[in-house]
Amino acid sequence: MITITKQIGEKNMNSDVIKTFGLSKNYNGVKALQSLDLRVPKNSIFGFLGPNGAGKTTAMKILLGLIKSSSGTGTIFGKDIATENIDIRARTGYLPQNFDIGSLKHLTAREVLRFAAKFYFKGPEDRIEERIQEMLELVGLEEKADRSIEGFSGGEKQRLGIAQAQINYPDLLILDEPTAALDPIGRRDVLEVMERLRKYTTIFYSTHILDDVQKVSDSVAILNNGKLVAQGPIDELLAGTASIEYIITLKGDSEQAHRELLQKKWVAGIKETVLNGKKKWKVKVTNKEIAERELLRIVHSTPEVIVTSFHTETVELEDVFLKLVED
Amino acid sequence: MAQNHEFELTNTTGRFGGLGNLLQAEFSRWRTWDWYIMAIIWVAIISFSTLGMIASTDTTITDAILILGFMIGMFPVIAVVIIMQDEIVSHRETGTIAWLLSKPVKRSSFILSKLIGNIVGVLISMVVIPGIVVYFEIVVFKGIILSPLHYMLGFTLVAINLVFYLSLTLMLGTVFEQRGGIIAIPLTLCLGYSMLMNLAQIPIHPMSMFFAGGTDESLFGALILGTPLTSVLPIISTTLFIIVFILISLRQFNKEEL
Repeated sequence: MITITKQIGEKNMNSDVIKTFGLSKNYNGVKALQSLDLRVPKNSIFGFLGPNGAGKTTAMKILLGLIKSSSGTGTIFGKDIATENIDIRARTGYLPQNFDIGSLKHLTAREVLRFAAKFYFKGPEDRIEERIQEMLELVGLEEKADRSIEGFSGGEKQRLGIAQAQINYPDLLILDEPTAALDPIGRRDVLEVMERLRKYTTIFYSTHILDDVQKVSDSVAILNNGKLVAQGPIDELLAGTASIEYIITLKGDSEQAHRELLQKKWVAGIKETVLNGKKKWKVKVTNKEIAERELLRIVHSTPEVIVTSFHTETVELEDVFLKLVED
Repeated sequence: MAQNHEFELTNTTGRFGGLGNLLQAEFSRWRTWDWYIMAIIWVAIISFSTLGMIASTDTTITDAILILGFMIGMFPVIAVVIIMQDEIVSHRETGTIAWLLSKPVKRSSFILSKLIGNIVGVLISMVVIPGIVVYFEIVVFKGIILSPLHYMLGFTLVAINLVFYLSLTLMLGTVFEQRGGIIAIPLTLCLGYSMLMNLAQIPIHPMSMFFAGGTDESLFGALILGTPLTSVLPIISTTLFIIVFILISLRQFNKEEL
């Protein structure tokens, strides 16, 4: 696992909503989750990433007490996930993967929210109805509030799922693949709702859609084959795991510039490709500041070389993810 | 907007946290057209199937009650098994159970809500309403006014029998993940008995409450007609089985990995 995990974990230890210590789960000898040490900071939108079958849903279900861990412990709000689970669930909202409430499909969206609300509130009725209306507006379902959910689209069901999860103003929202199986508009709508909830609660959500994570999350954890391979704020993860690359396109005799650059300590390597008489260099550097100051100056110092383009290669979360998962 | 402190909070620490709300949801199913239609169908099946036999002048009241017991003891069982086989499995498959138990709900509350909700629904649609209709069929066609108390006691056996199969099927739902075993076991138990009854009497089998077993009257018939009971063993054993099935359901569901 990359070092950032430890640093970030220690820094935010006191403000972590979720903390797990060596959480593991075996199914008939198969290790679904291996010694998970997770730290989810308060008021973060925390993306829990991993390929299908990585163990994300298993971890979430253990946190909610829906399945028992084979070993390890954990706390949410400082309460033990194994022995104080009812207290945790009273302060947590959960959206399962592919939200579907089979036998309640005859209910309207408003009735589903009323049903969910009654697990937390006995009354007063007018306040409960007010909260339901607020949630319907939050997820943009006010016009379909009194229609049976049987005819709802996938996106509408997911938005209703988020509304029911938020009905008690939970301190923690756990969303399992909230944007999976949605079309681009449905995904955008769900991400917008998550953005709106940011100021009220901590959101811990799983996904394998990395584009979504980079849009809304501030912290992530990456799980692969049941093991945590990285954890921390996205910015630090991107900066901490990828070397910086500059792309230079040039013409002319560049032999001397090439030799000179390779002698510099801050240059980790140059990859050259030639296309239509133009050379493209991918220059990997270890020090961004020196590279920005020196790189172009050295290339330009060779009079035969003409630089036609120069830019930094942007490192996307996807690059980091693939690197970590494929390693 | 209302903040949480403005609400009266539910007690989540009780032994049956969430039961009231789950029961309300179960009972809401009885307000749907699907269930009205099912209730009407069952009333019609039981009333019409017994009508010919009750109206026939060749049939004595003792024979009529014996055949009534046979029909009402067996046919509704098939419906109960069909209704109950899906109660756990489909909820497990769709993730509804996981969703419900992510709320501050006790696992025992879920099982009890399924039991109570379905017992009430089944008894109303398959015992109480058909029982009333058949009572008046007997009054009209046989000209006999049976003791309402004895008649109700007789139909209590019908209720116990249905609750037996209901709790058995629910228990099997907590044990098996596939529907095959959940349906096959109770139906074999019910239909198998009627096929084998001539070969051997099984006095602890719930169906033995509805078969005469070499005498003129079944236990069901004896209760309705107010004649002495030959044995109460089937009543006791069926009740004990129901308790065992419920306890196993609760224990098994507590261990369930969702």
